[in-house]
Amino acid sequence: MIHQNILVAVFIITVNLVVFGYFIIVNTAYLILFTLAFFSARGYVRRKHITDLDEVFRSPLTPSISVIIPAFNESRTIVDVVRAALVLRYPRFEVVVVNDGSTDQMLDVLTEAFDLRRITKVVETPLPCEKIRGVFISASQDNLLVLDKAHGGKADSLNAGINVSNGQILCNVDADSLLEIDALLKIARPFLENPGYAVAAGGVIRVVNGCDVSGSRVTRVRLPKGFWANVQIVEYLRAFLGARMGWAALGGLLIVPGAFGAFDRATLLEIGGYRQDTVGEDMELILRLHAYMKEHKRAYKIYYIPDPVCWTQAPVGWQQVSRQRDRWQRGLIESLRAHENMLFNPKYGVPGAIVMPFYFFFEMLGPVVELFGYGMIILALLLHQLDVRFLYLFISVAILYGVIVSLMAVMLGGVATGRFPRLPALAKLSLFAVLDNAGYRQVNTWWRTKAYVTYYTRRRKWGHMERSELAQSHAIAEKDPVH
Amino acid sequence: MSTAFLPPTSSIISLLNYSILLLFAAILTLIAFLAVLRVLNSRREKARLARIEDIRPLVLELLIGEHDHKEAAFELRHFINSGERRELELVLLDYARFLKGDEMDMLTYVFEDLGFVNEDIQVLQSGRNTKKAESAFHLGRMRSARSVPYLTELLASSNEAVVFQSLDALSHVGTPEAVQTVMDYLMGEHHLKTSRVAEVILEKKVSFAPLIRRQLAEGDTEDWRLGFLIDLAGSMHDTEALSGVLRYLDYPAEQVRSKAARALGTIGDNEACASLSRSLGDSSADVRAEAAVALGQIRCEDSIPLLAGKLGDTVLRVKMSSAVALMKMGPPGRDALNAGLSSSEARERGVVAEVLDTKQVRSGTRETDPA
Repeated sequence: MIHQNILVAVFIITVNLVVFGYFIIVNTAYLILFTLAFFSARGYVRRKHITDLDEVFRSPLTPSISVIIPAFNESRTIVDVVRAALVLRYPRFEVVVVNDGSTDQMLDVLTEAFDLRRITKVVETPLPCEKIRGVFISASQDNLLVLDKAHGGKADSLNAGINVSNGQILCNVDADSLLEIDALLKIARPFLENPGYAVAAGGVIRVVNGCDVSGSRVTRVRLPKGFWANVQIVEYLRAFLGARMGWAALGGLLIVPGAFGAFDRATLLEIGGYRQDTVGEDMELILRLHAYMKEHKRAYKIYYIPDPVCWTQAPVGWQQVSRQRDRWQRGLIESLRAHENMLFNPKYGVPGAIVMPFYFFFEMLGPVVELFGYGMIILALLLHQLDVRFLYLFISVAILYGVIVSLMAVMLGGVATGRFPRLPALAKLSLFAVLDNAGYRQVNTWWRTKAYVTYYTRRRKWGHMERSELAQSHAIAEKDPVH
Repeated sequence: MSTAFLPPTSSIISLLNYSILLLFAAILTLIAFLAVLRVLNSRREKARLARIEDIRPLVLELLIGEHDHKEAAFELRHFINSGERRELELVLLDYARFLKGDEMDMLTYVFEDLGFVNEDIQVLQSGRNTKKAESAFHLGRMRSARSVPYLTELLASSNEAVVFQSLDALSHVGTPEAVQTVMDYLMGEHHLKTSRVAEVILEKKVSFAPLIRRQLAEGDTEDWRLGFLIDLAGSMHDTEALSGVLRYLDYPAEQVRSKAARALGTIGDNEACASLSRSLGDSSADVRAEAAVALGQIRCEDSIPLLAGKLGDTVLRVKMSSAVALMKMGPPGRDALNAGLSSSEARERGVVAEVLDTKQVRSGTRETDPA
């Protein structure tokens, strides 16, 4: 019996040492990434002073852009989003809205708002997509085209949009997201400065919930009142700004956000556009892009720009957040499995040898390991193998280390945009940096682990998202219950 | 609770205790640092903007008043104290973006007289790359002819941003020596194909146009460079470059022929019609499509039958370009388009209908022959 107890104790100790080491490595890796991101952001801000966007705007050589907005049942936000896109400051661009077989009144809403008329159009389909039912142009807006097609999902809609668009650069924007007025000029800059070398660029995504929106523009940045939206603000800064900028600085960016990304049209067509059999189409595309460019020994770069802000609606309410995180995790698993030949393969450079293993161990397996760690604590408690004093200390270290990473993300956001949060907002963000690590993180770990089950049972299912009207995002955010 | 989750040795417990203290301290420091950054940033920015607003009317008054260069420099030196030099430079650089000719001459003199040029040249010689790029940008906007040798030296830098800003600055300075340096660089074995250099060249097209014409006449071994020069000639709408560009419609590389067709459309001279009409029969679909677009831009009515024939091309892009070109030709072109509606080929009918529908929706007039 004593012998058995010792074995159990040794097992628990070993497992917890592994979990502890794992946790230290993850957070330290993030700290290193954030340090890289910090230098990258500082360099970007300095270069911004010597960039004349007016020159980019005036030049006849500035490449044309097609802004593609795939939309499914987005009747509440679509008009604001299209209006915001149509007034972007850029010399030559078109807006292509793809109605992905919506079952709400989205097409009618668009028709009324923009005086749409059906036209005859011969569409070549170099990229596979569902049947196109109709093409509409606006009698009031020269650069708006609306495509009506059978439902096929986001990737399918993006492919359809690419098939009918004409721009040299393709920029995808989510139907619940607003772009800053100069966003296209800024995201086009790498393509202009490095034609042929720049193949993709991603922009920063910020949470619009709580902000004042007027005339399809964010007029004042404010924090929302609900728990879920606030905690996601910290999460977005940590994951979308800090980590991705850090990876981009190393040349290993694996995700250009689906909400706002730009691609060189010729390259996108070469690699066959978006794959429709995944819910993580944004990550899968970038992995395929890396693979293609490395296999063809072509010099290329994927940029991540901290400045051209895209404001997006973060889901509110735990059910929607859980569905979104479940989908993200499934997308991650699908993408990594689809390109498992790149994993640990130095032939694929930094993405294959460093970044993919990081994603595999810390993003894909991370929730499982973390949940296993929590399980072991419970087991140790049940078996009276738990030193409560040690447990408290261990959890405190874990949470505090995570809080530092979250706060660094807030600071990075300030450095990248030149706008630091006001003191009350800073206090609030600091509080949510704690809640992000003590509470939200654990719940998120559970959702992400559950995604392993839904990966097998709900493949390709997107999950329903409730939208609020963007112009009312402040008022709506105030109505959110504080959990 | 006597058994351990981890060996509860006092050293591990102490280590964790110290870690917690350290992390707490780090968190508080971070929050305090963020708060201080916010306050300082906000105050500094407000003060800076206030100073700029104070300086701006003074500079504007000097620019629109009847002051000579020396007087202007004297006034600024007299009224602006040393703590406001950075803001003064920013205001002057801001005005320099819009000024040309005599007004710019005054600013160039002021930059030199107040020592800004010297300061930036010093940075070019000893600063870090980020600073060098920034100073090169300043010197270009100041149109400082004296900085040309220093900027030229920087073209040998291994840092791409520094090289780019130097080229940009030399193009803005625009003296014959500076312009020649930029062209020599572009014609060298460098692969800095950045379009932004082209932008500044276009801004200075009067200086660059003769050099580009000469280079087009001489030819080049690199196709990308020829394409680049042809793009520039087209974007400059340089009618004198017409004959130079025309010869590239028969060039072996498809990419060069296509750029030549596009440039001819942008230049918009009727003399190109015959050659462009010939290019409608090119083996490359890209060239045929660009030629059709160019014919439409120039409105070469003689090419209508050929364009109508291209509605039956096998490539959709050529069909569409031809249809759009015909639409631009006025009534004779539209007659040809309407005839296309009765084509036996579905895609041809579709393309024609698309162009007519689009025109109808956008102009509110019915273009399709109701019959």
